[in-house]
Amino acid sequence: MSVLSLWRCESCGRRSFPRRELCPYCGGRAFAAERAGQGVATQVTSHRDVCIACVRVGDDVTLLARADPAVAMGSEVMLRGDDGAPVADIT
Amino acid sequence: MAAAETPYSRHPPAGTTTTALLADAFIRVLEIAGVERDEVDGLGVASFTLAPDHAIDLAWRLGVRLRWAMEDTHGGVSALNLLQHALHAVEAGVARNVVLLAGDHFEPGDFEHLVSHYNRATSEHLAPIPTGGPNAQFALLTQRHMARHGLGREDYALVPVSQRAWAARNPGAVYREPLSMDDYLAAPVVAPPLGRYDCVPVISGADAILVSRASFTGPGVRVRALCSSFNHDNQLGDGLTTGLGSVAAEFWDAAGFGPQDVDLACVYDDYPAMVLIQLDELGFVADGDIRRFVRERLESDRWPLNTSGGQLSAGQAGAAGGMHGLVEAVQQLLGQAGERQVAGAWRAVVTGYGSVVYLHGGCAAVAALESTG
Repeated sequence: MSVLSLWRCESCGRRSFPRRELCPYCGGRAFAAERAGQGVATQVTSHRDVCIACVRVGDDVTLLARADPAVAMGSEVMLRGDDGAPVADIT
Repeated sequence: MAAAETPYSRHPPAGTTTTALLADAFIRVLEIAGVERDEVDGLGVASFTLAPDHAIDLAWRLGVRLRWAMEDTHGGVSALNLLQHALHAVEAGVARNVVLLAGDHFEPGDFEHLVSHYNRATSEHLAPIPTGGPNAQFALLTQRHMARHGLGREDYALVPVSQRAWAARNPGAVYREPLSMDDYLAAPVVAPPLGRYDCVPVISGADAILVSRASFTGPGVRVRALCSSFNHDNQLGDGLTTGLGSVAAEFWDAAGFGPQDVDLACVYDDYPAMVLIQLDELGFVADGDIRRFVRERLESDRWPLNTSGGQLSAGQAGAAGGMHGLVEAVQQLLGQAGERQVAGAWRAVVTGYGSVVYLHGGCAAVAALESTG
């Protein structure tokens, strides 16, 4: 199972996804890859039979993920990566 | 200023090309303005499908010698961005007659390629999901907007339903038959809560604007104010702001009038929620009560919003979508809007919104136009 990486700013400690060149919060240039781990699905939709969720990770990252069809608004999800796509599995 | 649009088409004839559509719009705007080709010394273009050609190649195909040329790639904001730079060029005396063109013709597969490779974030992180274009992002955004303002699908419906009534009087719109609330609610689902009539039909077509030094010989249109916003929230917000709210005070101050003085508005309508968000940011929604606004202003008063039918009814010809509202506003202010002419149209507001960076659009712009006639 492939890991989804977020990018933690080495200056201010806040995370970004997708990776930026300069940290949007502090302008820092150096980032360390960090496993995304768990998040919460804040909205869920589907398009052409693909379930798509907006996932909030901690208080700093919002990303779009391919979601397990069991994921609903408010679901806690575990994030992984699949060829660049964030994937949200039900926990 | 003068404005023109080619007929919009869902199924253009074989052999249609982007360059030919742009040339058609170019010829039409010169005819309307009574300007000769050799008087054109500035050219701006926005198109997703012109590549590998650029503005210089288009200049060569059109046979115009230029002192000023530019391209813009900011999707729904490209026309207003081009306009801002063209105004500066004309005011500075760099060019006398600038033609701005926007248009696209998508061959099979072109549109899917565009939405999967819109930018690197899309190619790397959205296409592999696959999100299949921006409908998913705006479905999620619309859910947030519904929750924030307590709105239902019947509220959003009043945007395309009211615009369709205008489209019935626009021979250039691709959808002109009446659209009822029941039609809207019963339409096939695209991405919940969005249905077919929340999404723009992809079509082929082109639009043109001519920007010239002030004419004292006849009625014209003057740009009173134009403000832009790029990357206003670093994609860290919820998408329920576009950046227009942060420039609204400066914009109305520069325009010299307020929302209550506007005779018609052409608000970028890629999705109904975005229309309502922009109107609210610009101060058109009294007390921020969106439900009351759609019921009273759109449904009962038939306030002139997107009087061409907007992109939701007239269609979105790629990058021309950003110029469509500007063309409509200029035609209305010049009294050239035919059956859908707004009586006494003097002041108009035009917006642009777009370039989905990752979660939502990153660009927004707004212009205040006034008739000099």
